[in-house]
Amino acid sequence: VNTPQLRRLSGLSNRVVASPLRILLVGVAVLLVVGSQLAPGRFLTLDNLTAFGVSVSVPVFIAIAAGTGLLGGVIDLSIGSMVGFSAAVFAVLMHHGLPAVTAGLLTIFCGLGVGAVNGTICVIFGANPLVATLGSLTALQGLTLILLGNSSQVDFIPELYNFTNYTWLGVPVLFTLILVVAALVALALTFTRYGRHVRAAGGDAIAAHRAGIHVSRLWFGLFLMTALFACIGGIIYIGQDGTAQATLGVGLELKVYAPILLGGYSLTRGGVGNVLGAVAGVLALQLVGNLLDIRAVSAYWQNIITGVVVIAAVYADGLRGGERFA
Amino acid sequence: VNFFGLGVIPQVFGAQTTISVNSGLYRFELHRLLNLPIIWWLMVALVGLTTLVITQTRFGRHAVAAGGNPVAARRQGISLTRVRLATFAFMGVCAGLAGVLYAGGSELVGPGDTSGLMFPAITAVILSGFSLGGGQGFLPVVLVGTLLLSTIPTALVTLGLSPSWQTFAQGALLALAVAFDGYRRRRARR
Repeated sequence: VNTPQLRRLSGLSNRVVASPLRILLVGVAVLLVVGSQLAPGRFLTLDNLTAFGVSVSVPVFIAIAAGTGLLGGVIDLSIGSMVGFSAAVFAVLMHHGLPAVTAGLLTIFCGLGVGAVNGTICVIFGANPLVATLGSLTALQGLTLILLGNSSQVDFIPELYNFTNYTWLGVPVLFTLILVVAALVALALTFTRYGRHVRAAGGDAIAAHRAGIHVSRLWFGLFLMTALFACIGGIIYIGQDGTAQATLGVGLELKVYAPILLGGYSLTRGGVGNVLGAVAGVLALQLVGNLLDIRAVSAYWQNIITGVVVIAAVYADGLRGGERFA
Repeated sequence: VNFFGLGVIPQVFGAQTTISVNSGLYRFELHRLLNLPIIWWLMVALVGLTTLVITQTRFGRHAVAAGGNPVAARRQGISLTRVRLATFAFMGVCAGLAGVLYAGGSELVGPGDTSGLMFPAITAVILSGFSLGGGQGFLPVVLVGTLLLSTIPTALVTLGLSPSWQTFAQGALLALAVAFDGYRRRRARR
């Protein structure tokens, strides 16, 4: 039961399961074709794709961190609330007249503090990260409500707005930058010593420990990293929208974790998956959402699709040799 | 990592007790005599019955064994698949019953009504000595845990804090409870 069984992957269905990245890229292509047929003149237009690129930037950005966390065996569900929380902190600080850079640094400091709390609970006390970060997800949501009250802070920052919405010939600059970040993270995970340590700790923590890798310090660092990325994501949202609402980032954790599980990461074991899969997964799921929005399908259906995607991805992971429950 | 096992039973079972207490309180204000006892006794009966099933029947002990050490249980010839399927089914029954009771206790039912119940349920269960590792815990304690948890909103209001603090307190308490669970398990391993 507990030993992951490596099954022989043969046959068409298994080969499909074995390469999540390939199937995702095919899926994105199919989606683009289907979308152009279902909503002619509205889906596959430069305007829509540009807007899509802007709106998908933050989820992709956070998915990079969440995927790297999963690679090392760290699950942080609090990222969704972390986005809302950091946006609230940033907006409140700006409202009190602090310069943007100071406010941003203070916000990032707060975010790292929350990441440190998560790391302490999960690494030092040995709590189950899935449930513990579910707790900090709720706690952060409460803090956001306390900070904002029932109002939403409106602080329009022209520089940040222009930067986060800037497009060059229809290509969103922010999205391009985030793809560069993804590529850098992928390279770092493959070619640096730290990246290999992350993989090793995720694959087999005990073996990594015996090989002299400081696994708990590494996990603590991964908690800090997911918090940091979510924090920056929150600040970017402020730049894009100009407002911090209490509902910002609610449910984002599922919108990030569902597609990266689809992209080949695993909840039950670390050491598998790659950043490209995470990016492709988020793009695919958000494209579906975009298409449903254009067709004016109820947002509840998007929840159902997200849920089905999680279950399918976990099942596929089991077929690939992940831990099976029974 | 094998969470649940036996842990699964009380998980949503906690949801059951939480809801019963809540809707019981709701009715308490409307009809003082009739409804409170019925729904409350139903909860107690369910807890008692399940405790008996867990401690006295073969199935119950199999569930505890499967939660405590799945590999050993498997080697003893206990079908993990069967135990876990039954546990999930039982959870579904409890959650369904709780849903009916909840709908009966309130006039209007909206889709988001019960989304906040998961946290108190899991928190109460872990505070009551159940472990995420499975195979541990005594069900009636959940009643005490739920009672303790349901005093927290009142306490916060008494202290003069806004309802937003409740969300914070729930999450923080859950994180602390899991941290305590992890600490306890780590010490048990030594």
